[in-house]
Amino acid sequence: MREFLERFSEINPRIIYLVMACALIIPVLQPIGLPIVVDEETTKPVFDWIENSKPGEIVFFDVSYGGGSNAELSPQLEAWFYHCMQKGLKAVGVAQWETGAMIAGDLLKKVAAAAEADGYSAEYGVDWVFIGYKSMIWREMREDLWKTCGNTDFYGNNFEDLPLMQKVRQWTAETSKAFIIFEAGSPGVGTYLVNWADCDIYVGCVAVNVAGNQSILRSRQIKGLLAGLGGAAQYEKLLGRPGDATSLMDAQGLGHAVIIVLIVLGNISYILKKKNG
Amino acid sequence: MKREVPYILMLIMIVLRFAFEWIGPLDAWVLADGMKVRSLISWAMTWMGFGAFGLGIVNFTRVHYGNIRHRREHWMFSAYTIVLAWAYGIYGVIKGNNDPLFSTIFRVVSEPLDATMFSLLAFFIASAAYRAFRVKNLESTVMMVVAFLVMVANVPFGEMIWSSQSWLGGFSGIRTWILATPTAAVSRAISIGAFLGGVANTWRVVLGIERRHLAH
Repeated sequence: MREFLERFSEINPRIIYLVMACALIIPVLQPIGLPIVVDEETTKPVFDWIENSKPGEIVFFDVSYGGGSNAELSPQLEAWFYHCMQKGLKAVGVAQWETGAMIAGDLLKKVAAAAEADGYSAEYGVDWVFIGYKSMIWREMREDLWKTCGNTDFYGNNFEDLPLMQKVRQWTAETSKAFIIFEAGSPGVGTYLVNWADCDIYVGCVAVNVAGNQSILRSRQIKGLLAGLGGAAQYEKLLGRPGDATSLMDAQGLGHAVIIVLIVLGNISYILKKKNG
Repeated sequence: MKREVPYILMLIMIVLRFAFEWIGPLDAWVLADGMKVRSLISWAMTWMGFGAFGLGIVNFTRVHYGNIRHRREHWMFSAYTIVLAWAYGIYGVIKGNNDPLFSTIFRVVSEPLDATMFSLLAFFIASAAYRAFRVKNLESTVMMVVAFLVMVANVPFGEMIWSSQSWLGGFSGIRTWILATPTAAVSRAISIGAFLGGVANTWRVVLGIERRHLAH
């Protein structure tokens, strides 16, 4: 055993890669059902915001991420958007990233169809609108959303033909008191901290951005934070509708566990080698 | 003239931007019905951004065309890049980003490639975990212990070992404290430092001390 530990740091990386691949793939194929604990400071406020909103209220959302963060942020968007449709809220989406618009363009249709299948109203143009990426001047959207967005949504519809957009000529605190941004980097929440400081801002971010966003959460510049895939899984748990995040959390949990074990074994190996000179 | 004109243009833009952000009457200045001066400046900046994008396309094409023309190493990849980028770009401009073929190419090629690149991180970290993350001195030991606690709290196993309902809120409670107190404090310090650095650099540009962006 001692000899194994001493030589552990010289182990062939391919073996480690294989172990890691197994830890990630097996739980996806055969979920284990590891426990998910809801974070009261980060996830719960986001859920409570939608849960306590009145039917018909307008909420905005921003999809600012790409393919690299799709696995973490799309389950967040999916759960949050379903919740909006379930509660009868009116959702209007924009994107600061073109890739985010492309991803959300398909995803939102899928979630809306699922909500309708479950008996909730999720009609496009009435219950939700997705404007997409418009290379927008964000500050100008406060005054004239229609003009700034060229009067068309992501799918090419004219705003005149969308009943929901008749209520959303401007994007101000009067139109919508709160909104959420699903972000993977820059441009991201900074756009809103500067231009929409009078609104309640919520963030859904990738796990690596959580530490950075903690400072603005503590200063109450943002009101809630969905932290990576774990945040999405927690939201799904609160919603009572397990989805991709819940099953993927098993894989993420095992992947992290492998890394923890590797760090411990690597350090034992290092200490033993040092002792032996 | 090559020095003065860009510098004067830059100075005008900086003064305009500052003035329209900071001075209330200028911010509210309306030329005609629905025509705010600040909005016009904002739109002008958007067009400048578009111009920069165009410049990027020209530069990108020049670089890769040069690789192909001089048959530099891996010139074939430059050929792929030029053909694919231009073909996809032109198709997107003509058909729009909601076109089924355009979005399918994005969904089945671009998106998975992007996700794959990001996923490789798991293997890099696994490789680094047993070879690089060592407790060599006090600083690295502190970092390792903190990383260990946060990581354990992030995985469901952490909850199984030390529940959030128990003493100190378990691993979860410790993680929350680490992220909310020392991490947030350090993060703010870095942000404030970066902001002050940005302001100092802006003044260096305004006063003409910093001229490297003008190729001097």
